[in-house]
Amino acid sequence: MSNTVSNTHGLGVVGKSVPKLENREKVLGKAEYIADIYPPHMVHGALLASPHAHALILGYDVTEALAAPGVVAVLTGDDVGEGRMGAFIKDEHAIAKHRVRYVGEPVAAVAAETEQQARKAADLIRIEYQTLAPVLTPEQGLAADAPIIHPDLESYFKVFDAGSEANLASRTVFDEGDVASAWEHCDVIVEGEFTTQAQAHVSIEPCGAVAHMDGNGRIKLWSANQSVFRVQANVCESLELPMSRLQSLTPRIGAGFGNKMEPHIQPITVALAMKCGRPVKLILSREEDFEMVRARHPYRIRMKTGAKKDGTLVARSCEVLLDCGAYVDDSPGVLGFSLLMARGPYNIPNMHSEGKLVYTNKIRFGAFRGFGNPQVTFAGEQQIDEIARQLEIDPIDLRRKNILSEGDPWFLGQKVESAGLAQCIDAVEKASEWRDQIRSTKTQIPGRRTGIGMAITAHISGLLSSAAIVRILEDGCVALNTGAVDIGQGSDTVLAQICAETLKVDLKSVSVASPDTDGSPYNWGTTASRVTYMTGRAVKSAAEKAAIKIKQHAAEMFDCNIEDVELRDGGVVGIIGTDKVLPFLAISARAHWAVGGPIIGEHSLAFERDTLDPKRAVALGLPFPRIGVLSFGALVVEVEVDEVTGQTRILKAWSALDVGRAINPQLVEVQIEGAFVQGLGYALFEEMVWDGGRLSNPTLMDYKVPTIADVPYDIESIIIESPEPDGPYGAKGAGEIGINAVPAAIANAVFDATSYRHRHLPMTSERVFNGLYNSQRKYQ
Amino acid sequence: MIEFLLNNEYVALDDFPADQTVLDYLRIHRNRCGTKEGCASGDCGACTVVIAEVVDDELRYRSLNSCITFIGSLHGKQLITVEDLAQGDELHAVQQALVKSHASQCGFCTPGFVMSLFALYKTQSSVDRYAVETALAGNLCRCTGYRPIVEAGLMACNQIGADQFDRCESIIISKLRAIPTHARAASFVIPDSIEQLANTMIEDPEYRIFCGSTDLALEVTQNLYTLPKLVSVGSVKEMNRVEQDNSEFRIGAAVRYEDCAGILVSQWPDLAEVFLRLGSLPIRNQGSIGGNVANASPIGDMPPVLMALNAALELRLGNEQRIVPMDEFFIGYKQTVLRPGEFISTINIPKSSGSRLFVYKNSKRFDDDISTCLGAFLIDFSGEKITRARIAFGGMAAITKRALVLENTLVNSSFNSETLRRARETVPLDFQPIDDVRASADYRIAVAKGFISRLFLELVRPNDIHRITRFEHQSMEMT
Repeated sequence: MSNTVSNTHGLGVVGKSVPKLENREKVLGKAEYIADIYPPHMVHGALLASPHAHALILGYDVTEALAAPGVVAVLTGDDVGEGRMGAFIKDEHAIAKHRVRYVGEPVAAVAAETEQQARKAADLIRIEYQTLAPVLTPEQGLAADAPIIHPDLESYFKVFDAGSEANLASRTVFDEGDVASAWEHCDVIVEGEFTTQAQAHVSIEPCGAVAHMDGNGRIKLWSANQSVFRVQANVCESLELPMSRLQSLTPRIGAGFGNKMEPHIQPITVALAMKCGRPVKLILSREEDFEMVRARHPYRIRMKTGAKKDGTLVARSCEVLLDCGAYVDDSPGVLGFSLLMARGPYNIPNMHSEGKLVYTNKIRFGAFRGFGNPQVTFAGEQQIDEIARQLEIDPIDLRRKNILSEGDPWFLGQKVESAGLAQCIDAVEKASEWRDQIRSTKTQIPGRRTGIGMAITAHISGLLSSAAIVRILEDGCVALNTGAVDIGQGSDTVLAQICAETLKVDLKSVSVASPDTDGSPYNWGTTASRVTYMTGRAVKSAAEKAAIKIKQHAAEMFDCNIEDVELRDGGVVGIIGTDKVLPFLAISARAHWAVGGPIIGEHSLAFERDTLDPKRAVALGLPFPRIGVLSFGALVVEVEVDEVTGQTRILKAWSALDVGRAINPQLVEVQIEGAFVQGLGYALFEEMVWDGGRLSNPTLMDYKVPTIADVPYDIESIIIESPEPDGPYGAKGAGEIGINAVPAAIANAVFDATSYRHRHLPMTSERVFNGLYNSQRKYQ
Repeated sequence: MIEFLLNNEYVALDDFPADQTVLDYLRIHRNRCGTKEGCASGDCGACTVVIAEVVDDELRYRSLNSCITFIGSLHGKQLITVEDLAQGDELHAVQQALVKSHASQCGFCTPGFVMSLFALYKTQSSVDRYAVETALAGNLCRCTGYRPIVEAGLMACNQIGADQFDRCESIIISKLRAIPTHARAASFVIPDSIEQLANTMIEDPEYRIFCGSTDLALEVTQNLYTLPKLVSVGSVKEMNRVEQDNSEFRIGAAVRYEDCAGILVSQWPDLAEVFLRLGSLPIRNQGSIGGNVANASPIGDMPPVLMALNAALELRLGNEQRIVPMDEFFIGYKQTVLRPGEFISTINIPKSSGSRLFVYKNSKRFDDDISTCLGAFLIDFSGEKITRARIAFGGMAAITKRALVLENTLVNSSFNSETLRRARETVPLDFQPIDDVRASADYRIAVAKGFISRLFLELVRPNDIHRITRFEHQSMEMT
């Protein structure tokens, strides 16, 4: 059901669902992940976690641990300097130093001959603490007499105007139009408070790292990551090393979803390797992965939306309170992004959003697929539903009336260049037989109710910088090197497709280099749905530059003008209008051995469009001046609720996404479906639960993610292609957007089924049951 | 010495740590890193391997979680891992199907899916979507959303054609048959008779008894305890039998769920859903009802069922045998009447012909999740009158317990709205549950009351479908 982009290229491999390049090694069990690396003479690392949510470290006694069998070295905060890392605010040491700030925070590490020896020895480290009162909620953190989690916050380096104060890590305020006076022009106003829970990423591969220092003091570091460059920056900042001393590499990555973008235990592993002089391997247990990496932010959202009688949206305000945990990590970005997305993909002339980010004594919260968007969409798209019901307008009609089109400005002013949103809505409406569904009476089977709901969303792809190097090898094959880590989503394949398409070569003749800070060009990371769009742009331009050099050689060899030659399929250059051709082999041989040197095309770029148009809007504490291009999506779900237990099952889902251009449609579909299922778990049962400062369910026994049995038999994924002018072959990102609308659409469907509006996630059986009971009491 | 085959290679081990897992053995000692560790608790399936054993002159293939299987459990079996499937450059049918269906994203879970599908491929010649889902419910994938994997399963497991394992079957069978059924290594004992087991348990109280180790292994992998000596009941003949006469089933305590589910479900159809939702297929391939009972967890799914069915446990200590009714077995949280060295040998379940068993389970996630509340109702009725009721609940107290007030309320009552009202009111009299990470006490009470309502609904309108189950969607798809 994809629309086709009109395109002057006779496209070959772009748009084809070619299998991923590394599928064979994965089904063979030969893909090498971090835990599969066993360097010679290596030792195993293990961590000791803080038992306290908040305490001062008064001293360490490591004698017993050092004497334990097999132990090679023990590392504590005393072994590292005062260096601190952080993407937005540099607030985090390599390992807890002077103070612990959450239960589970690594406070010491051991290297020993076996993993078991290391783990047992870690328990023998004695630490003297002076416990402090913990801050467990952002509300507590903002209280006047709250214990201060980062007493030196004021002096920390910050990359943006954070407005930090006491436990307030940052604050952001956006304004457009005049919200305060707009309410009086509204015929209907809905208002509510929404809360969302912490969700764990649960990449099936736990985080880990392997580090080794060579005889020159240079360190080689492999780790589970989403950016070898962020790893390099974080390790070097926290350990006060020049970047030239650290080579950061990547094995295959067992998924990330945001969890592996910023540091986890790479700095500790490097410090341990430097201390013991042997390769160190440190792999987190599942429990540690839950307790010491990061999670999706819990949100408290107050939202208010107003409309005219005819359904025209007039104003919205959104206030959010974010718990960032002990370290801000990517939180200021998440806060700013939610506030930017809180208007939704609508033309609402008056919009105010503001938020506060507050330190607490919990695990750091950070990037997770959707990056703050699912939370505000959960609130915003339910309010659209509420307005539609109050005005008795079909929810799809109400949305259609207010959505953005091409050329419209996004909130704060950035112009939308490509908008396939209307087509997304049309597609899910048609596929779900929406009108028939909402007319049909609810199922009459005793004890069960069904409902249908929809939500729409947008997301960005972009941010910061990427680059690519395309080299033509001696035999005419192509070596692509971008530094972008493929975390399993298939970006190596997609980038190779873009490269092959641009050079008109067979996909098999393109190799993709594994990211390596020594040899790859900078790539900020596999995050922000950006690799296809940003790195894809770099690849296309680099390949085009290589193509020009190839054609220049060919023209010289043919003794004609460069305008007279063209690339033809299969890695050959021909003279236009003739059948005279030269293969890349001959051209590259000439370049290598005779004239001009090896053919290399390279391109660097940084995302260039401003988020804020100061003539339209006002922003305070904007964490990202240039963020990205917009993708769009629409989702309809049908649910069934069991009246006895409140258990909710998703019967069917229809998800349409405008991805500009699907470079590899199968991979896009898997992104749509995978994101839906992750959103289903988030909406219905996934929840990190704390008992005081301690996480109560840090195991897959107690923290449940969807299995094959929770997934509806029909998830229809629909790709809409509304090409982005500067995207590679029109492509925009697809990685995150699929999750945004899921909780909202399910909540709208559960309302349809039970007449109860769920403003708190997750919608567990218990909550749905209570809602059913409350709504019955209310409506009967 | 324990003996097994690692694919085609004969392996004999004597001096190994009793609590070493198959996963560690493969990764650390055999450099077979294709098998992954995702949780070390049997919850994610990334470590799935396949075990073949000789049953009725054929090889039977089962998927297992290698992270919670002790190495000694391999005795007499063939262990097959992801590295063994392809032949040279040629992928196995299940691997080919996964590639064709784009079913591998990050790939970390993929070897586990390969092996679960391989087990399905080896055990069924044609499969539907439901069979594929049942085989894969213990494998978590966080990337794909599962659809491509289901497609791969349907593609691969409906193919006809022998693979290299079929061609080697007779050789493997003869190699496995050459291995004695009992074994003794330095700290690991595998008796093949109940006398040997009873003697081992008496002679050395340090021996920990286990069957599938789905729970015991967690002490090693999660709590980092050392279990210096282990005795497996997996080969004890008397405990691996399922027998029945007109009045009762006698289920050996070491019989795996998968090996007794069919016969019990044919007697009590409601148990189908209980078994389906109990752990995942690898767990049911490994775990036994005897283990679930002896473990005395208040949230085990079988104890309430067995209590409602009025089962009795045959216990053995040395030469001494005694029979304890299920009602009297649990004495406190994780505490039972078992004395040191004593073990459950058999579970006797009266057939109660003429009674109907209703079982309802509630959990956060449908499959492989600990029950928030499970209610088992054994009901006899004549006309519209209930003549007998044995009812037990799990998840409602520190131990599995009968609902005696409820039973008394129901017996000799008709199923009408007044009885229902009175019955629902008994729940807080029988149970005072607690709040925990899974649910609040109030919700547990409400769900238990809801189960009673559902029971009445099903008694009054037996032909309607009242429950949301995967079975039902399956049957709806079929029609």
